Amino acid sequence: MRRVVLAVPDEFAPFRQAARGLLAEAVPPHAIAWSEGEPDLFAGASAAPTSGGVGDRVGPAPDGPCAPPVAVPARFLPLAEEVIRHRAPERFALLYEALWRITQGERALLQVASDPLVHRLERMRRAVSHDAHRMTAFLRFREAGPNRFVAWYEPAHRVLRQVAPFFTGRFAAMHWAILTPDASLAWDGSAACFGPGVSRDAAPCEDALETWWQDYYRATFNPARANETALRRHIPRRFWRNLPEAETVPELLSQAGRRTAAMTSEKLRPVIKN
Amino acid sequence: MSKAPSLREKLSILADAAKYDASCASSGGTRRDSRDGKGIGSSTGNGICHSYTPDGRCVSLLKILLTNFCVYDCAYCINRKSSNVRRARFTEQEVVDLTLAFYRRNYIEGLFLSSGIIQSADYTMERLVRVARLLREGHQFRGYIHLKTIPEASPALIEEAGRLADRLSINLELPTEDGLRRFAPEKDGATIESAMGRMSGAITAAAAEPRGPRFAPAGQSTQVIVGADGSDDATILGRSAGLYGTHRLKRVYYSAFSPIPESSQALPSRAPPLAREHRLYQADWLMRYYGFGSGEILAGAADGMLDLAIDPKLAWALRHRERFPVDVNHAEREMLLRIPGLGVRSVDRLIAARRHRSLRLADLARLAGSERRLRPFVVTADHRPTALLDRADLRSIVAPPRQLALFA
Ligand code: SF4
Repeated sequence: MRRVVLAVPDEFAPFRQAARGLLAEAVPPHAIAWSEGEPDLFAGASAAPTSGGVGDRVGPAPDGPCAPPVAVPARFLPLAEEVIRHRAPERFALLYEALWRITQGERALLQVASDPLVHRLERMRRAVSHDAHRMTAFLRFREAGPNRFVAWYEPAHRVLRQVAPFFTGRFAAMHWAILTPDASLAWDGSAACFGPGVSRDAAPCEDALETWWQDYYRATFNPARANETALRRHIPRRFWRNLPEAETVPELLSQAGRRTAAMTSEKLRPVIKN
Repeated sequence: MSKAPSLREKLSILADAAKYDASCASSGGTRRDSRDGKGIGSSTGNGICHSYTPDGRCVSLLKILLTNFCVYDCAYCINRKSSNVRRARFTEQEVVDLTLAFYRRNYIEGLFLSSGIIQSADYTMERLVRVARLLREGHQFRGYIHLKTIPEASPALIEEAGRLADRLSINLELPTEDGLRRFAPEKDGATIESAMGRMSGAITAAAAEPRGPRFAPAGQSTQVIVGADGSDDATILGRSAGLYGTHRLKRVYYSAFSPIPESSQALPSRAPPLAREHRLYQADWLMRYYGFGSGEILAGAADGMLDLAIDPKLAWALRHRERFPVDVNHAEREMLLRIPGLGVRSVDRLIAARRHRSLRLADLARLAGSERRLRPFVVTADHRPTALLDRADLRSIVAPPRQLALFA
């Protein structure tokens, strides 16, 4: 059994390096035990964010940089880069199995979406991509000073690097930090700096504008359409505690019936005849 | 007279007044960001819903009216002249400040600004355009802007609106001329159509000239109220098909007529089921992405209404059993798209996969998420439905029993 420890659990480059070596030696998937090592991810790390995360900073790999490159179909790379950010420990083994089958003659494997392995990888990729999208949607900045903003967010997967370009592109002229339990990202208007995870109390606990946002949220809701099931489908429970507007939901839902009844019974109106 | 509302009260009043507009999309803008450090904002081309209201509707844009004063008297509208609702008016600068403050905290993708008509169409349109100009030119705002267009406003103003905004819209509200005459007597169907036509021309021309001045790159949309007048679903879908065809609209929104406070005597006092709105959206989707003609969706249906209990694609399949079962290993894409339970994405992945494998039922389950519904309609390498299509109770076998719970 070969043991492979990946110190950087959410980047593709170290995995790729390890996989190249193993493929060069023709080590079959069942003979490898993959695991995550101590994350010394942020030792002096400061890099411009790339959506790919395939920087030069590469963790230790079992076989040095001399392992020959392996030709894989173009679509493997974007798939693997996202799957790597999934928290499931089996992600390395699944990706290696796909590589193994591709190099053993199944060149078109990734086009067969109905294959159980491809299906599983695709589902993991989608979970990561959905999680990243939700982070761009549900993250809320709080003002921490003039033109300074801080956000606390708890992503389901390790998607901070994936969403970094979104935030640096959108809020380039602001100074801000995004704090999560496993990593953080600070932007000073020109450079992005990744750092270690922090705890929740490192973030500001309020912003005066949140009550205005709650007012808006209340006003834009039509009580005649109340539908709690649909709301919960779109915003699962775990997001609620970090969304300022969520506080108003119980009150809005409990009053919806009464408000609708008041609108429809103000006066008895005849139904129009055509 | 109550005293003038504070800014915070105005936010509540003018968001409340705008909430009957279903559109909140922020998709389709040109890709841009503010990496040059000059302004603020970006658009990825795909919309983002930053929140959802307790009815499950997307909150993407700050959706407000500049003012809910209005000189018109449209029966279905809470802001009509004869309504007793509390009135307010933002200054243009107030809208700009609110938009930026919300945007910086990542609450919104941008602004959707509409207004009641004050003084004149041009006067009102000028105010809307000024807000967009302040945002775009004064603050280099690169987020999304959707402006409501007033059909009677002068072409020069609409042109400037198109240059500044990502999307423009004129709401049709009533699907027929007759409905419009009865409920919005001051509005004129022909004026609306010609304004849509001009915008459509400008959008197409600008899209063909990528280096020229931009004009509403995310296109135009409209909204139709469902259940206020007596139009059936066939009429509404026919109207939509016409709008997609003639004016190349990006979206038609359907908004189930909602009882409003202070509502007009002329309107029904009860809302139509929200399920109807949902089925119209599904049917609309079939026209835009599944190759269904508007007449086809309801062909053979008794009363011109979509079935509320099952989705329109399944309803169509049940009425056209002679077209099934479909052999998923050989059928054309067009026919694959007609199989109930198989979406566009699944169909495309199925077509790629079958080049390399002969597909079995289990493969289909992985491609479509489930095969229970598909089973009676497909032939796979290991499955051929046995006379299932002839059963009278097929509907109860394939229709998900809990589907309506969403609208309870
Ligand atoms: S023009 Fe009609 S729909 Fe528009 S705000 Fe005035 S009354 Fe309402």
